[in-house]
Amino acid sequence: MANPYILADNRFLDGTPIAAGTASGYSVLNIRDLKTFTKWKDSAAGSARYIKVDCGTPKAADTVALVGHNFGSAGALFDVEYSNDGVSYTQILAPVYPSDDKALIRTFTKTTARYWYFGYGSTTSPVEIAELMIGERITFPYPPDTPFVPSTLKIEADSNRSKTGQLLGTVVRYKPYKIAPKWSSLSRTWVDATFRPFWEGYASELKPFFWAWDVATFPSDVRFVTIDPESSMETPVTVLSSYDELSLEMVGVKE
Amino acid sequence: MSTPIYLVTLSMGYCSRTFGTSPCLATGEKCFNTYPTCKYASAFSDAGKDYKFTSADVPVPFDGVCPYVKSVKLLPTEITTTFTISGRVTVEFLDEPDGDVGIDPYVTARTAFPNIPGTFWKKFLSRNRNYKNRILKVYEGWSGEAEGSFDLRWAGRMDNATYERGVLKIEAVDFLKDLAKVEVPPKLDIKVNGNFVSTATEYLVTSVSELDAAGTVMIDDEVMSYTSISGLTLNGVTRGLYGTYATDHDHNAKVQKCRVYPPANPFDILSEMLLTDAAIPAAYVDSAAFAYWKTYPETDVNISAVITSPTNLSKLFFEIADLVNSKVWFSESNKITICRDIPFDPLRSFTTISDEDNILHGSAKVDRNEKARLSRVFIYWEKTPTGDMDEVGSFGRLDVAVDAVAESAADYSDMVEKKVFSRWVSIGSQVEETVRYFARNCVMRRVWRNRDAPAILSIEVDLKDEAIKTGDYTYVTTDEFVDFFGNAIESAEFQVVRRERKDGKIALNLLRVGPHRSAFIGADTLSDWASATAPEKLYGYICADDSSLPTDQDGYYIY
Repeated sequence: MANPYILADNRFLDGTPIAAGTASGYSVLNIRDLKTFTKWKDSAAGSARYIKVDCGTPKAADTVALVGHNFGSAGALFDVEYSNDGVSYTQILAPVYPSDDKALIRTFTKTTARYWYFGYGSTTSPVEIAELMIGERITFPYPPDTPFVPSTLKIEADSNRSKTGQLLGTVVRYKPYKIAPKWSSLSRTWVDATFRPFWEGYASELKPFFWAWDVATFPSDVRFVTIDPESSMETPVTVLSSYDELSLEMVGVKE
Repeated sequence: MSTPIYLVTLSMGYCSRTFGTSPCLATGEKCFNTYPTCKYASAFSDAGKDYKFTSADVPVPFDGVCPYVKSVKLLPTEITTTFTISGRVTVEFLDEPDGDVGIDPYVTARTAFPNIPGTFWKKFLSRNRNYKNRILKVYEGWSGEAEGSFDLRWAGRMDNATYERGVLKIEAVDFLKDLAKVEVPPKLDIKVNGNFVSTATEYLVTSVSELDAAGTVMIDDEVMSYTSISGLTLNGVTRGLYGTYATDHDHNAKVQKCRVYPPANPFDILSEMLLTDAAIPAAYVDSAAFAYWKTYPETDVNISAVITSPTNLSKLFFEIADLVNSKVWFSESNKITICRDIPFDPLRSFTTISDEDNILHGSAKVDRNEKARLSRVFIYWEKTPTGDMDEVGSFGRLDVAVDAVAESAADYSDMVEKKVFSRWVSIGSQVEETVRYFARNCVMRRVWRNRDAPAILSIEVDLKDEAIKTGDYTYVTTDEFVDFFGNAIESAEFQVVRRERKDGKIALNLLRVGPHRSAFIGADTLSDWASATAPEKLYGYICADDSSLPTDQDGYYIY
């Protein structure tokens, strides 16, 4: 099993994103508002389209992720490029051809640059994206403890039975899932320097982030999640150099 | 598989101008294009803006909406005898931090951008403090449906908003809320200015601002009309109308405007009351239903009245609805609609409800509704215009219907009577026998219908039965009622008289249609009674010499 990682960092928050085209009512600012029900939509299909951002100063990134998109159904592809002058861009992620419209994440060589460029092209219909992140991921040092359950899927539904016992109607409202990996004996240095800032400055405010637990083996198992509001961060210590246990309880809704 | 979804729209004021661009000459920190935030009010141009929200517990059905609707509490639709059925609707919205994208037209120019503070609803209320009386609409639809396919379920005006622990609650008031408060004619403060003798044909009054250009008024006990107004003088006065006498009137005698309903079809008067007297927009009146029942199954006699003192419009309206044997309600389609209370109508379509397919386990309850039983009904009619409504002496005619068998010792051994005082029925220029026939039928039908108390079956059904609406007639098969032999009733006629959507269910009250059949003569191709279908039995069948049908059901009455 590969090491899981989280993407909560976003270069599109370091400046105002600019799109090649935007349909009326679908502001490009929606790609970074962390709401999957607000979308950006391009004004037209075509090649050499983009969303770019000027971060003001050079900023690092090694991962791109998107959710609430239509790249699969629109027959679209994307790449990631960077620049330090805003004129000449270098491709850092080769073109990706999503096969469906579900959340996806891709990594690339960590690079520091002032300008970041999400390039894409579509053939059938204008591209739309609810959330788009290009940033630095947080990679856990180890895979989670076994047995690890990738997700526990529940059903929020109502159903009724008639006087004679017939099942009359079932309404499935949504399908929430829960993911609760645990790690034993994580280094205190890593937790305090890398994970705790993420928890305290981002996750504990219930802001959503991308979670991928084994992209190499299960590339489609990418989730846009928040921390379970009922959860807490506990880090018991027995041996001073490490925490005995760290759990990360996440919740989301099946796409 | 579909999921029910609420769509709630709030129609707010929104300026079409651009801040600082002529004719808006505002300067400084930009507004939010709402009137409360406007800095150059003289150029404010309200183009309006609809904010759309959908249920929070289901996937967002289409673009351009926020899934903030936590709950919607709609009042039930119900067939009653007043307009108090309308009222308040409460919608709860979830709140969350919001960056103003799509809300604030100048968001990227704000100093705080991109870290815009505040939550959606707190900012919404701050920028739209004038929300009261703005329109709130509730639509119902299903996942997978386009926005245009959602049904408008309710519309009204926002009345108040409260915010508690991340939830905004907006109360809205029905357009028809004040209908029960409308008085016809209105109460005015007008007096005669100077003495006014019995032969005068013009006179001075203290004010004319609320009088019609030509109309009818009452001074003391005299009703009179006038044809024009000049200054404070009423001209062309015709004295002693509607059976009253021309008399002298003193200075400062009260002048009361009258509402004259000239002879017309009852359904036309009902429509006029809604559209003219109550000034309800035509979109909220089911004009097609009023037009249909005006002539089916027969056209009623014309009715008329002169209302000489302020009277509740709801009372007047339901006097007529009752007179023409009709039920009126504010329907799920957001319109005031009407239906004649005909027990068995061959042209009627029916839904079906059964224990097996519809009635939810543990939800059924039966109320025998004994208070609805009647054994005799009186109708007093041919009223003098100025007579008191509750005085028998104000009326010139009386018709009575009595079910002596029901009152007999062997049967109910009880007399339950109802008196109807009708200001509307009078002979006027109509054929006397026709009017008498109308009055007599009015009371007879009521006794037929309520000779035995019509039971009410309360049930809950699944959302799959969403199409069953208030006023619908339905064939019910249930063991909540059994025949003399203990068998569950099959395809018995009921009418839906109350409907309320609750979470994943719909609560219905079904009023059982009385056993007495009105006869519509059927075609000669109908099956014999023994093999007739339920729809065929809605036509009249010849009964046995004891007035019963072969299956011991009651025979038919001529409607």
